[in-house]
Amino acid sequence: PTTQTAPTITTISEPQYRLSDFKPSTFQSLSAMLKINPNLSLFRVHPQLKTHTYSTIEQAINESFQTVQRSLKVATSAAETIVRKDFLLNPDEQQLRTSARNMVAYLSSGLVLITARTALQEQIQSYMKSHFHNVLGISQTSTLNSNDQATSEMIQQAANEIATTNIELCCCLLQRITISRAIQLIDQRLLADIELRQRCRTEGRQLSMGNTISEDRLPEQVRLHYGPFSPHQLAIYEDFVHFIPGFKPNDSEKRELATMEESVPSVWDR
Amino acid sequence: MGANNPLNDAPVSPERIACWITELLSSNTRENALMELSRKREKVLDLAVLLWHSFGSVAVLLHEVISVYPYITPPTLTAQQSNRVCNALALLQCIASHPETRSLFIQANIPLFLYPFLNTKSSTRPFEYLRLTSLGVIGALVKTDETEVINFLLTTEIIPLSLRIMQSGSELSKTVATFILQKILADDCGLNYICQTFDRFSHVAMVLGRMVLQQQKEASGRLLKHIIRCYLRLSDNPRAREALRSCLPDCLKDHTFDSVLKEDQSTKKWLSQLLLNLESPVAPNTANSQ
Repeated sequence: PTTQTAPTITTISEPQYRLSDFKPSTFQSLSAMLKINPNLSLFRVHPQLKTHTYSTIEQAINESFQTVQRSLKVATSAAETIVRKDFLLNPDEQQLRTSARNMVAYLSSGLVLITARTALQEQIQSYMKSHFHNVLGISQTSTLNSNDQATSEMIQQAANEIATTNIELCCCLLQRITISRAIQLIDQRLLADIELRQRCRTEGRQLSMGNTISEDRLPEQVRLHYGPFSPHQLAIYEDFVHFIPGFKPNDSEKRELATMEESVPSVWDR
Repeated sequence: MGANNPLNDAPVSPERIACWITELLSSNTRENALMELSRKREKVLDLAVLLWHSFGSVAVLLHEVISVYPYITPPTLTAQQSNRVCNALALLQCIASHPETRSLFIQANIPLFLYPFLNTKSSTRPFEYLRLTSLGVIGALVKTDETEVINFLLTTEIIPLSLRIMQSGSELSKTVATFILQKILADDCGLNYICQTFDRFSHVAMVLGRMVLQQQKEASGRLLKHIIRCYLRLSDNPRAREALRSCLPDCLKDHTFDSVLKEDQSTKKWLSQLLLNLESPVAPNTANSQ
C-alpha cells in the first residue's frame, strides 16, 4: 500500500480472502472454496479421485498445524507481555481482552504466513501424490510399467497444480485455525488479569497494580493514566485485526474476534 | 539512513520526543515519527525506557515489523517499505541495548519476529538493508555479554541463521553475524552448546574455515578479527581444540595475513595465542604469551 517511484516488477497479488470467510472450528469453508480444475487429465481418466482431494488437503493442513506450535507460543508470549504492560492501569477487562485477542491474532497469523506457507504447499503436494498412488495401487518407489508411469506423471501434475492453485486458501485456513487457538491461549494467560478487574469492580475499588516505572521518568504526555482507553488509543489494537497479514482488510473482523466464544468448541484441541 | 539533517546535532527537547512517541499511535503521522525518533535515538538517553513504558509504542513497532511479512516471499519489498521498517527496527534496537528494557524485550520474544528477515535471500538493497538492520538488533542484544541473552538465543535458531549470513551475506552483514557468533561463544553456555556435538562444531568450523579462505582473496581486518576471536574461543574447549589442530586453515598458521593485521596488535596477539593453544598437547590454557 505504498506508492513506488521506481518501476519494479511487483508480482505481489492482493489477498483474496477475508478472515470472516473461514469458520473457526470446521473445515466446511474449505470444501466449498477449493478450486479443482475438472479438466486435469488425471481426473478425466480417474474421475473418482476428485472426491479424495478434499480429505487429503484437510489432512495436510492438520499435519501442518503441528508445525505452527512454535509460532503460537512466540505470539502468545509477545502479546501477553505487551498487552499486560499497556493495560496496567486500565480497569476495563473487555478492552484488555479484546485488544489481546486482536494482537495475538495478528502476530500468530503473520508468523504462520511467513514460516509455514512453503512447507504447507509441499505437504499438500506430497500427501496428494501418495494418496492418489495408494488409491490407484501404483507404487511410488519401484519401477513402473509404461502405463503406470503415465498415470504417475498425471498424478504428479495434478498434485502440483492443485497445491499451487489452492495454497493461499489453505494457508489462510491454517492461519485461521492458528488464530482460534492463539485466542484460547491468550484468554487463559490473561485470566487472572481479567478476574482481578472484575473483582475490583464488584468490590467497588480501584485497580491497583504496582507500576514498574517511577512516574517522573516519563513525560506526562506518554505516561499511562488510570482508566479505560479512548477510541484513539484503542485504534492501534484494532488495527491489528483489520490488517491481518495474508487476508483482505475487513472492518467486520473486529466484531468477530471480540465476540468469539469464550472457549471455541474445537476439533483442533489435541 | 535518509539525508543528513543540518539540525541533527541540536539537542532535542523531551516534549518533542514525547510528541513523536504519541504520533506513533496514528497511522497518518507514524511514518514521520518513526524516522524522527530513529534519527534522534542516540541523543535521547532514556529513549528505550520511554518507548517501552509509554502506551502502544512497542505494539506499534511490532505491527510495523509484521506488516512487511507479505512482501518477503515472494521478495517484493520496496526501498520505501524497507526504510520504514528499518526505522522501527532501529527503535527496537534501542530497546534491546538498554539495560532496563533488555530483559523485557527478550521476555516478549521480540527478536524472534526479526528472524524471518534474517532468513531472506534476495540481494537487492531493500533486503540487504533489512537483514543488516535486523542483525544490528541481535548484535546490540549480545554486545553486553549477559548470560540471560545468550540462554535465550540458544533456544532459538540464531546460530544457523548467523552461519548462513556468514557464508553468503554482504561484508558488513558477515561482520555483524560473526560478531554475534563470537559473543555467543564468549559465554560458557554458548561455547558448551556449540561444542556439545560434533555436528554443531564442524558446521561452525566449516563456515569459519571458508571465510578464512575468502579472506585470502580479499581481506577485511574487521571481519578477520572476529573470525580469529571465534577460533581462539573455540580453542578453550578441549575437544574443539583437538579438532582444530587438524582443521584450522593453513593460511592462519603462516604469514598470509601479516599485512592485514599489521596495525592491529590485539588481533595479532589473539592469533598467536590461538596457535599456541593448538600447540600445547594436553596442558590447559596456561601457556606464556610470546
